[in-house]
Amino acid sequence: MSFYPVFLRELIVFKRRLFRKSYFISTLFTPVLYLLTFGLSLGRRIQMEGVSYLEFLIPGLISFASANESFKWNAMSVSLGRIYYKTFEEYLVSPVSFSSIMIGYCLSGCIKGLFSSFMIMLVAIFFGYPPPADPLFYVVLLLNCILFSSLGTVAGILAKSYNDVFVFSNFFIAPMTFLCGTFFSVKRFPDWIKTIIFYLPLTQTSLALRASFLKKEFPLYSIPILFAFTVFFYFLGLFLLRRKS
Amino acid sequence: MIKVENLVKEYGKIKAVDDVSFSVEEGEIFGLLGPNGAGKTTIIRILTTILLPTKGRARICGFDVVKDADKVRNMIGVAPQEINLDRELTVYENLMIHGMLHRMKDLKKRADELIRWAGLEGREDTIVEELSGGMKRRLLIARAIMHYPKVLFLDEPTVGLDPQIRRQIWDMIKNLKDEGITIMLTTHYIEEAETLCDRVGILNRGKLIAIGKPEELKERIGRFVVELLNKGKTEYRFFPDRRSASRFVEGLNQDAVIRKVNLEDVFIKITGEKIEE
Amino acid sequence: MNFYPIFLEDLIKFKRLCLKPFFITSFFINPLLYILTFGWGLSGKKIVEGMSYMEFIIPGIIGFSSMVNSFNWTALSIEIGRTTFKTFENYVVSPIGAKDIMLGKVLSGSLRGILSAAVILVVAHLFGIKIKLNIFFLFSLLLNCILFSSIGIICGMKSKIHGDVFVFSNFFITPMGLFCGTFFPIEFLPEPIAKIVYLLPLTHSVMCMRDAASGNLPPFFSLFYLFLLCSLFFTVGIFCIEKLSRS
Repeated sequence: MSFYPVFLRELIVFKRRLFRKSYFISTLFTPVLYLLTFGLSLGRRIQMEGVSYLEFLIPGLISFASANESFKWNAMSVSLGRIYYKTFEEYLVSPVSFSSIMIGYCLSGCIKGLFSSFMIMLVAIFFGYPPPADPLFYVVLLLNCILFSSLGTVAGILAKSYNDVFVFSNFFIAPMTFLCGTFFSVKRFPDWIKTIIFYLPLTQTSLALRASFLKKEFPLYSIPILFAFTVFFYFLGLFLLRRKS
Repeated sequence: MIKVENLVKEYGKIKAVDDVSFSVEEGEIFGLLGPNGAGKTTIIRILTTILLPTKGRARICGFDVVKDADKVRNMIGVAPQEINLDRELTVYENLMIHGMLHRMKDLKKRADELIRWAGLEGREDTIVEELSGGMKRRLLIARAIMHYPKVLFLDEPTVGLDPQIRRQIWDMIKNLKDEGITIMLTTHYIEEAETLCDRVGILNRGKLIAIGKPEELKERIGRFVVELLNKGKTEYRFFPDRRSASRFVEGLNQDAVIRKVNLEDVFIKITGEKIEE
Repeated sequence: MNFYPIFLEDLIKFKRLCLKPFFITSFFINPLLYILTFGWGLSGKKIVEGMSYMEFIIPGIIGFSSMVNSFNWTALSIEIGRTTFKTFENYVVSPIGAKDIMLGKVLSGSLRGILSAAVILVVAHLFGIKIKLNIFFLFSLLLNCILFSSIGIICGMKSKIHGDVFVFSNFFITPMGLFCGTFFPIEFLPEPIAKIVYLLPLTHSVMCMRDAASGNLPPFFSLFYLFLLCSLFFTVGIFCIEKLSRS
């Protein structure tokens, strides 16, 4: 339970910011905005992979939102805590173990990702698409959130300045979130790129979530791939935490 | 030069400045001394036309700070408490932009002159962010006088600086007086007020509780003070000369310190509180 | 010429930022992603008559990007100057007036907007899209930049705490960028929403730029509407600076 103070602190800050001037609600809304924009306009006019664009887009946006929010929050919080506010050091000198710190950060990053995803699912209901009943959907969603919050923590620890986080998210995360099967089918890519993209974690997530959402055949291989990535980033974060002190 | 009449600034029910009146003669250095929160910065902000007073008037060189703000702005230079230099620009660029804002001619000559005066040669092209605290303060003051203002306002000019740097800046300020600039500064450092100022106004909780030349203010309460510790609290007794102070101490059966009176003692005598922690 | 020091200051800072390699790239990462994702990712789908989807969205993305860049620069520099670094006071205490501050800031904001548009035009060219850079296109672009720089100043002046501009940007600027005919014709929206969107300025900038880019005359009503709004917001901006620079 010693991860709990870290988790709690992140959660308190999240809640406080949520109600203070809607500062962070505003960023959580952006994926919903995309859904409203493209859903209302193009959603039923074009098809993608055999279904309406709206149906295609919803699980894509859920992958987009969960990855983005879990990553962003953690990367920012950890890097700012280390560089400017020095609150990160408090954790390091307390008797909390590194695993607890890591778990605490991951869980709180998850909450943000899940929060954003649930907002999309809520809006999807108004479009006539209830949340899926398939438990595998939620397993993949959860894995995705943990994966990206671990990655965010790693990025936050490695960052030498706030700029670094910004650059990393602009050059790796942003392209990934737009191009990995979220807004359009990966089939659009030429074969050689397709192979590379296939193994990126977000592609697996969007393929899996979409299959589950559209009640198509679920790609069971995605779970071990995602799990491998999650474990890798989690332990990388743990390793870096130990090294940093 | 500066004339303040019954100045009041209220924030809701709180009176940050409570019926303050004083005037500053041309060419003198006038200081407002008081603890943090006394209202010194508020007064400066009103005089430099950034803040509007609730009641009362203030005039600089005859121009009202509210009605003729633009004329006032032509004549004043300000070095505020926060070092509001442009962090992303170099030393030289900060001076240059400031000069252009004041529609100056012969910018380069004046900027070079000031860079030398502030001891920043070799640093013209350094980004402000990379300067030390003392250098930033010197640049701030240099920038404030770039456009040859008639009146200079310095808000806590040496706060947070080492003692040697502090003395450097004091020399700079005394230097300026020789050029005929009228200077008004605020501080909570007693030594600063005593060393620099021709006249001092002591401010507490928005009220001006004493005003005059430092020597005169001190003389009012006595030349020497005895500090004694009584039940964990320091007590002060004031005496007109050393002899009466010594006699008093001899009559005690505890340790005591005799020293010369300073402005803080004036403050303590009037308010019962200390200025500096 | 009183506005010049303000413009110059921003120019020096911008030139310095441009020397940092990642800054230029971050200028066009977002638009590039939009072009890739929607222009290329959705190409082949029949969305609008008479042109490819990529051709359709490029003027939209130019409008979006120039709006965001012009707005962000002015709003954030004013907000940070007023709240965090207190550098805005330097302008207030100097003898130049609110008009000059407004003009200087709007010019530097517009410059940023126009430069971001230029970057997108280069990217579009790499994708084989040719935009006719005629006078109408440039005029609409300029009006767009001036308009949103002015709105940025008003936001920056009205912001009470660091972060207010960010909230406004997320609730108004970004949605505007997504809805105002940038990625799809506003006729695709349900009617009541389309009517509201038609009132928004970005809709008209994008319409004008799109028409001009394909060699047609832009609707003069839109140009006039934009010009009117520009003058309005510019004047309000001056007013805000005057009234709100002293508490």
